[in-house]
Amino acid sequence: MGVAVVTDRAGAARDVFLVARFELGEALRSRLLLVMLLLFMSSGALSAWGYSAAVGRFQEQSAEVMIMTGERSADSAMLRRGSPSYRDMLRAWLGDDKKADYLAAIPPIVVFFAWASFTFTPWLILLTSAESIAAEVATRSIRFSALRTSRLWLALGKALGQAWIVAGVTALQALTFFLVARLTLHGFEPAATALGLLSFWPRVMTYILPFLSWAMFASMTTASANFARVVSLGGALCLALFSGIAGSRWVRGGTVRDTVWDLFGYLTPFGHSNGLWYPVGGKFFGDIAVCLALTVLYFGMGFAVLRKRDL
Amino acid sequence: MSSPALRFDDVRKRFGAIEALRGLSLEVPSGTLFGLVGPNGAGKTTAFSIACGFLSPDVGSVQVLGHSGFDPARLKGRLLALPQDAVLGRETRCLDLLVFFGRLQGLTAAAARRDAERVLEEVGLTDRRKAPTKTLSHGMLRRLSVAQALLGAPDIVLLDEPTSGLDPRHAHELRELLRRNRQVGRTFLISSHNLPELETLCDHVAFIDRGQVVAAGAIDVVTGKGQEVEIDLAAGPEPIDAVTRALPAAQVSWNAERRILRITFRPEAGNAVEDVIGAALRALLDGGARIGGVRRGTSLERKFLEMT
Repeated sequence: MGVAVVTDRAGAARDVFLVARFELGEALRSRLLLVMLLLFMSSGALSAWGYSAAVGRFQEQSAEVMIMTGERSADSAMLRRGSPSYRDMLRAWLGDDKKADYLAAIPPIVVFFAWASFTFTPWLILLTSAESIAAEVATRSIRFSALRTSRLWLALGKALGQAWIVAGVTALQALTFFLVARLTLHGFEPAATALGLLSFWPRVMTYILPFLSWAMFASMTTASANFARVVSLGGALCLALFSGIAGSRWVRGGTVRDTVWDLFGYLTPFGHSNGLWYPVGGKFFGDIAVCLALTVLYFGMGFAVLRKRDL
Repeated sequence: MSSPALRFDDVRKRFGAIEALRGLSLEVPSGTLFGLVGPNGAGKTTAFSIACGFLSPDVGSVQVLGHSGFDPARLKGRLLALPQDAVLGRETRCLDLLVFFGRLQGLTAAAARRDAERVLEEVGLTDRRKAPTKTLSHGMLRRLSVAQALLGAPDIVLLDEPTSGLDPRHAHELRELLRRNRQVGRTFLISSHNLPELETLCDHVAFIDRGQVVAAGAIDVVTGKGQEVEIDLAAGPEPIDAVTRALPAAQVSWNAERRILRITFRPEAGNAVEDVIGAALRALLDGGARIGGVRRGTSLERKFLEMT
């Protein structure tokens, strides 16, 4: 009997990579994920189209003003470069002139991509990634892998695989927005739009990481896919509520009290997308640091349970 | 004497109100085909799961290949198992799944692929190598589960009900496969309710009942093959006294209802099992008895029923 004993023990990184690659493959083979992705992409495309239509109407209104003031036509580029009302709208929305000026200088579809991604993608991740480990614990499939690598490498591999999926989803979403804008917006600027999307994509990924980590926490601490989803989504809703309370005027008053609530605010990722909109200054790097720290914290909490639990 | 492949020391495990293991102590010698027998709920699967590191013991310790507890990073690919009721990936193709497992236990990509092809052939699934696992029948999935436990060169393999759900041909082929694997010095711990199968396959056995070992050792010793003879008598004369006189050092018991004569003796020089059988048969035939059959020792099944 020829038994292969050729070993390749490159260690933990190799195991994490192997598990991540397998996780990605399993997800791609799963029709459920593909259906959810299609739904997400089509809703993204529809909303991008709706946004483009709104921007189109805004362009037309601006054109009338611009033509009256001597411009020959108005398009997307002109809108962002020359329309004071667009900048005013952003200033009113953001309450920060510097940030509004920064956003006014990039194509509107990029701004919409960032808003949609910061707002909705975390919930998709909370829903889809939560079952990653829990479903395998429920069916005991995890035992086949747990015999061959440590629980830490297994969990990290699963998280990395999910991160790859998220990266793919957000990249596809960016592509969808690019194509929708290309088809619907007048004066579409391919280079500026592509650069803008490329600039926001890593920021969106950074913001999504703690949510992914929270979903992994739910997955590591439960023993069924459905319960994991409940913990993932329910827990995130609680965190959102908590973040809202921490930032509300009702609970604030006095330096010490504010500091305490600010500290509580650092325990949830909600609210930490603000700094990621404008890639300059302490808020930007502070929010990146908070997102990364929460990613480690949530994963560590989940792994503390997984390490000891019965599989 | 080499250290045991697997050793449980006073292991206890409780699930809520149920105490699954109540001080299980057991040694599985290296290179043996070891059968683990017990009624449902006796603690066999719990013991397997603790050995594999899926469960942690509440009390006691487990040694795997001389190491305290099973650490998959340290003993990569050296302990493999067929866990009970564990579902193999649904969407992945059989070959890809085995290659993944092979790689995860330390094989190179080329070696993992070669070995996956080998084990698929050994369990008769070569023609399904490209099929997603969800398309396999129950028996095929069982064979695939066995295949993953034979990847690479494990020192010890734990198989929980390996022939459950297999048709007679594949069950036979699996038994032959295990025998062949044993010849390379591999240790197998097999849990099964099929006692005749274990009796023909294993050289060591342990009976577990209510979370404890009630008997363990070489199968010939446990079943008394070297110190016990059973003779079936057909209807007719019953010269039991003649046998008692012919074998004064042996203990002779007669079950009139089942018509089984059991002779228990201490094997010594000139009093080997063959000598005892000869003397007993001579006495019975001289007394006019009609012999229905002769067995060395008790069957594993009967011993199990007696002890649990």
